Amino acid sequence: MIVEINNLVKRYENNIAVDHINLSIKEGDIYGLLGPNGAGKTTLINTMLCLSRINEGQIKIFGKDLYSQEEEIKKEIGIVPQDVAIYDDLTTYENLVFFGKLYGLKGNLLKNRIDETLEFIGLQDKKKAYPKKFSGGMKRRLNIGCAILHQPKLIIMDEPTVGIDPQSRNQILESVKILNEKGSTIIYTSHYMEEIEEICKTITIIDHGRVIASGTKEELKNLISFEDRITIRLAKANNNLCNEIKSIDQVKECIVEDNRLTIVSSKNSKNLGRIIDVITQQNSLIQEINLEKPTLEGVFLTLTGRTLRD
Amino acid sequence: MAILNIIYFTILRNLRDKKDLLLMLVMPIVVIYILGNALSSQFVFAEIKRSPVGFLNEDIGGASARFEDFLSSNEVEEILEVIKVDSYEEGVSLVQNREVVALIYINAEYTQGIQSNAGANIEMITDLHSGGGFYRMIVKNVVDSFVESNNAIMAMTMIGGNGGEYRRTSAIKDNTIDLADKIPGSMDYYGVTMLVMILMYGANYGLHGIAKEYFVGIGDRIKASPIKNYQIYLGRTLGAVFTLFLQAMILVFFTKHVYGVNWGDNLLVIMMICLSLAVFSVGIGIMVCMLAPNRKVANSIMTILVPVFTFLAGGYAPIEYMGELFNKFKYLSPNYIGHRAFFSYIYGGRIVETQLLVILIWGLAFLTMGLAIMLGRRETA
Repeated sequence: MIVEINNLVKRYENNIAVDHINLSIKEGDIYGLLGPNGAGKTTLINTMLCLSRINEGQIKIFGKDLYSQEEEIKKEIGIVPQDVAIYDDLTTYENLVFFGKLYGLKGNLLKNRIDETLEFIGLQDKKKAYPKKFSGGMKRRLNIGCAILHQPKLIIMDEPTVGIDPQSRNQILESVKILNEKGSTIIYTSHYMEEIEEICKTITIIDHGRVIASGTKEELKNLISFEDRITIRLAKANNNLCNEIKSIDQVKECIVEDNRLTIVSSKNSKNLGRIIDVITQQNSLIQEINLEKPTLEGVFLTLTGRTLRD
Repeated sequence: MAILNIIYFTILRNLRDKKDLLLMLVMPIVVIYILGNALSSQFVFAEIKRSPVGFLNEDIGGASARFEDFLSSNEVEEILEVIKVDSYEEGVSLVQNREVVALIYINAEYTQGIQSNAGANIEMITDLHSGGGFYRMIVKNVVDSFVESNNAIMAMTMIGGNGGEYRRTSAIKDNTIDLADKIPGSMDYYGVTMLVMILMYGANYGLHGIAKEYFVGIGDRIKASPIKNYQIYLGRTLGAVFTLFLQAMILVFFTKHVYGVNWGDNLLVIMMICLSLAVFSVGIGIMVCMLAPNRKVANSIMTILVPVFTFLAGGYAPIEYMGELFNKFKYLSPNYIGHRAFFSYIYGGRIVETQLLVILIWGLAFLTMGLAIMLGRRETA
């Protein structure tokens, strides 16, 4: 395990921000921390970086105790903070020099790493430009560049796509995958369920400072997948058709409403073909079919009773 | 070394800030020029003239002749212009009309008073509201010196000595004093006060340097790197001090060579005072940063404090012209310590006083830094 967190507690006066959290993160993983704003994700990250003192528990990173070997551990971590943390009055190149030197890079090694990083984040032609003139997406990319320059084993990305356009978001998500392929373990926090679902191999859902659920995407979805739900829009629907569908094996429910059928079947019942046959035999024209799959949003909703954006 | 990296980039960022450069260099250069020229008349030290004084002697005996003899001596005539009047009323009228600074009056019983040991007075009638205090003081000193010598002769006579002789000698060796560079002109004065002012404005470098780490996310990013907290703050502080010191020295060189401001003979002393004030000022900035709940409030505090400190210490106009009340407030301003350190060295040549003031400034700098560290620890606990 590259990160092991045991029974971690962080309190702010009377509020408990992290409530007895246990996490184990495997080397090579893209580990997603999913939760609404204020769930405790950033506080958890801050404790892992010694930015916030813990009240109880233990954190081990790279198998070493964080508080006794802080400096050594920090050398191998790259942090992409939630707020863009670069100097507007230093050029792109100077920002990279500044942060590179903080991690002990110098001379030709520093220069080579800067060139590689500029290419990776796509800002080669902006190396002498000041970030104050950059778009939000460019700033975010430089924000990432400053974190990966020293080629850390563990990269922590705290909501790295907040407030940027879809194109820049896709670029960043792609870069996360590439960094992972190159060997870095990634911890990725977000309240955007789609991002976590797209890139993360393991996901932990956090709410009110507690771990609600943890596992792979499939494992999490299986937590709420007891049935399949199909909606079919027809040119003309009626109750007779609905009753006939109900007689199909493993169909539990069929509701008709405004020429739309909502059919609930047992999970993995594989009876969609038979349903379509019944509809066509009744000479009804199918206009749209939706097979509703369980989502992380649905998982969060089921487990907490509220949506991620509540 | 990580700390050198932080110092270098702190200086680079400070020097790139055009707004700050305008405030720290262009503004004082312009203000020195404007105030130095506009208020130059306040700094002209006029030649001391003879004090006009009325004199009426109504003594019917001979004892007062000695005083008349004293008044007509060459030494006294050099400083007093004695105008004899015929009546007390005429003399008082001259005083009231400010034609003389005082009336010296000897009454009819003067000799009799001396002879009978009943006491005798030489009266000096002045108008305290007429101004000219300096010239009144000269007249009083002249009369006092006669009375004291006369009393001494009388005392010697009473104890049987030969006190009758009155001989004029001088124990004063007459040397010409060259006042050039000994009294500050307006440019010299504002050169010093504006320098101290920008050194105090430099508190903003301390404030912003640390605030960036303290209130803004970039600080967390740096703290998340394998560098110790003390290295971060020391780097920021040294960067701020060096920037400020550099700007102060540019101002010193510019004003010396362009405006001809007198900075004394030893530039090292000036550099030492500037460095001390730079450390103190950055310390104030860091302390305010730690005291304030956020960066905006910290900024506002500094924006108000520095001009107030400058004003109280006489940075815009000498406090001597602002009355007694303001004169007392100057001690509340750290700028005053800076002014005294510079002026006592440049114009008084009192290097010991300057050294003591520099030690005091360092003491205050350590105090502010210490408080800032304490407050910082309290916040992060």
